[in-house]
Amino acid sequence: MEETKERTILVLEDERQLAKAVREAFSERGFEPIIVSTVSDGIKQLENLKHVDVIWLDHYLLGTENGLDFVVKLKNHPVWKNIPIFVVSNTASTTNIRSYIQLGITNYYTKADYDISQIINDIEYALRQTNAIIE
Amino acid sequence: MEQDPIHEGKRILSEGKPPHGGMLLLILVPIILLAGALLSGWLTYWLPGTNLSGYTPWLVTAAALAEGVLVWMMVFSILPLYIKYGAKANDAIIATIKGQERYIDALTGSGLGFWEYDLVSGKVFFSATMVAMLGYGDHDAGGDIDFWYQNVHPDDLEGVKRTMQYHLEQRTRTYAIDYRMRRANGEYLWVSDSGRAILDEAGKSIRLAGVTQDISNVMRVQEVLEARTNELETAKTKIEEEVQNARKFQKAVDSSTEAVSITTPDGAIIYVNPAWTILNGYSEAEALGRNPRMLKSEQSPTEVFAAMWEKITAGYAFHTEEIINKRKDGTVYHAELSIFPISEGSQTLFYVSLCQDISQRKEVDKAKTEFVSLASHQLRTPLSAIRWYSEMLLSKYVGELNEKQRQYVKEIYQGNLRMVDLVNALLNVSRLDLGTFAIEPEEVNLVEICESVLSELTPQITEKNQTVERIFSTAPQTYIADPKLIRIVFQNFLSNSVKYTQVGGYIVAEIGIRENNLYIRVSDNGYGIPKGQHGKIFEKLFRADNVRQKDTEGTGLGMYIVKAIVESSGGRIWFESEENKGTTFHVLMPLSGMPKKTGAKGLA
Repeated sequence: MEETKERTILVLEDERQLAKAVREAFSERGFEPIIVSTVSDGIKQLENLKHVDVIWLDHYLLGTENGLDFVVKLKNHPVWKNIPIFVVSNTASTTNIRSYIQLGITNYYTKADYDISQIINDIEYALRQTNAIIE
Repeated sequence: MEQDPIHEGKRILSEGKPPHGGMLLLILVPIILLAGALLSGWLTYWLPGTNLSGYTPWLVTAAALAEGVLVWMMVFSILPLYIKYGAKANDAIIATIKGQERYIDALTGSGLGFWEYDLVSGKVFFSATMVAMLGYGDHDAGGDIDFWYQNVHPDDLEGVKRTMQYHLEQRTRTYAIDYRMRRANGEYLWVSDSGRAILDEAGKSIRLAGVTQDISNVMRVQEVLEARTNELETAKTKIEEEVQNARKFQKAVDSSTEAVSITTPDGAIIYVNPAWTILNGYSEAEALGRNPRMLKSEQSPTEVFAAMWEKITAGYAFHTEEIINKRKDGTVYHAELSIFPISEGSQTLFYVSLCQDISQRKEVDKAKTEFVSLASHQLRTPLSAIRWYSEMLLSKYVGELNEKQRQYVKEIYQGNLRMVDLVNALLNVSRLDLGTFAIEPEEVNLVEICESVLSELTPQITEKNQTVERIFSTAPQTYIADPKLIRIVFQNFLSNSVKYTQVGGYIVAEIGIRENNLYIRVSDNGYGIPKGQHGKIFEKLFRADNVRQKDTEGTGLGMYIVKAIVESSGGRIWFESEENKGTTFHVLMPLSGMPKKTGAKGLA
């Protein structure tokens, strides 16, 4: 069964407090969350992991690169470009949000405006859609 | 030259020589008569003793006859001379009288009244002209000096008396004074008196005679002239005052710290004050005659100038804080500009413009707003943490909470939500204030947006048992608007109506077309806004007194944001409200929709 299989979510989030909540919430909902706080660590994880189902991406991250740099890298990659990306940020500007959407991310959320369960619901829904298309 | 009548008489008399012999006659005739009488007596006595005694009667008679003849001859030789001289004297008298008549005629013709005041008797003679002048008929008249005095104007009497007294005491050569006399009909007459005293042998004044002229006409002309002169003086004073005022204004404008310039309707500068030259770096001579366009920099938004021309050519004042001016040396400054068209009738005479460098103020404002923006963004992270952890606590998978714990966490969660709303509103305000918010118009269905807001509010509406009437019959199918922004408008109107209307209240949402504009109206029969606070409704962080007591939530930022959204789209917002009767908000927006505006942030 699809539902029982553990889905891997790569979380790029630099706020320790929030990252912890995200990890707990996703674990509870049957995800395997991998948490990193820089773009380069995110890329490393993608390279190491066999499979990543979905990506949680904050805009501002530790290091010099931000979420947009990460999306650009993924979209230029033959395999990674198909991984759904959910940008969850408190600080992105309208211009940045527009750029994310133009680059083909799945959705954008302002953290403070959403319960974490709402975002997970949306992610699960999106994954079911993707799987349905694949099948 | 007319001769003096007395002289004329004297001349006539002197023409004939005065007769002589009269005196001789008077002396000789009695002597002759006496001698004759003596002779007659002697003859009568002597002759009878002589031989001639027989002839006595004859001789006495002859002597008497001789005497008579002698006297007769003397009388006849002298008397005709006197008769002739008498006739001449008559001529002289007639000539004199005629001369005097001419004087009287002249007096009458000239309108001069003649009078004579006898100081001894106190009687006064008035000529007919004088009497007529005073309106008492047309005949000579005599009277008392008191009659005269009684008719002199009370204000002038003292002067008349003194002038007269001075002259009579011979301190003045003539008596002359202008004063007012009362006529028979009670009117006053301006007269000019002049006269001279007649002295007795001892050199004491016994009479005063003179003429009086009616000078009312002269005085009237004089009064008119005086009045005119006064008017001219007043006018002159007024003009001087005006000039003084103008100078004061000029000084005030010259010393103003705000840059003031005056421009003709076709755009030539005709005045700049010193502050203007300091602000812009051009001297007065360099500025005069030029177009103020020389100050325009590339950084000014062009639409501001379009809006400015539209306003001032229609005769309205224009105010902006959005333009960037360029100085002579090329540096720029942020300008606050007010332009006032000065018109006479429908014609614009010139434009007065006031300008201030508000770069510093703008920077401070910007810094403040940026601080709010930054702080708010930073606030969002801990808010997210509180939200998510309390959410997880409530979601049971970390273990069941007891009822109290559950209640408390719910309060934390709700409190956090309010904080999120407040931070979002603050961020919106900071974006509006910074002008960094974007408008991204697209085709939207306003009715759908309104309905979705209403459905979000359904729990509260149901709880308060309120009725919502929808009037969408003339609503446009689509409208060009930024869905987020238009949603904020509906959201604020409707949530306010629900919040600030009592249980069982009535709310109306209307979307339609009015005055060739999009029209949005939200009405309620709720608590209303106290009259004294109507002016503050659109101010930042304002909350009306009556609702602050009823509902402690609310940021006081909603209507400020709504107004900014409506006005940035070229729309107009207004309201009517009465306490405990309800409130109605109206919005008119151009049918063409919201204009696109790029900016760093959309409103959340």
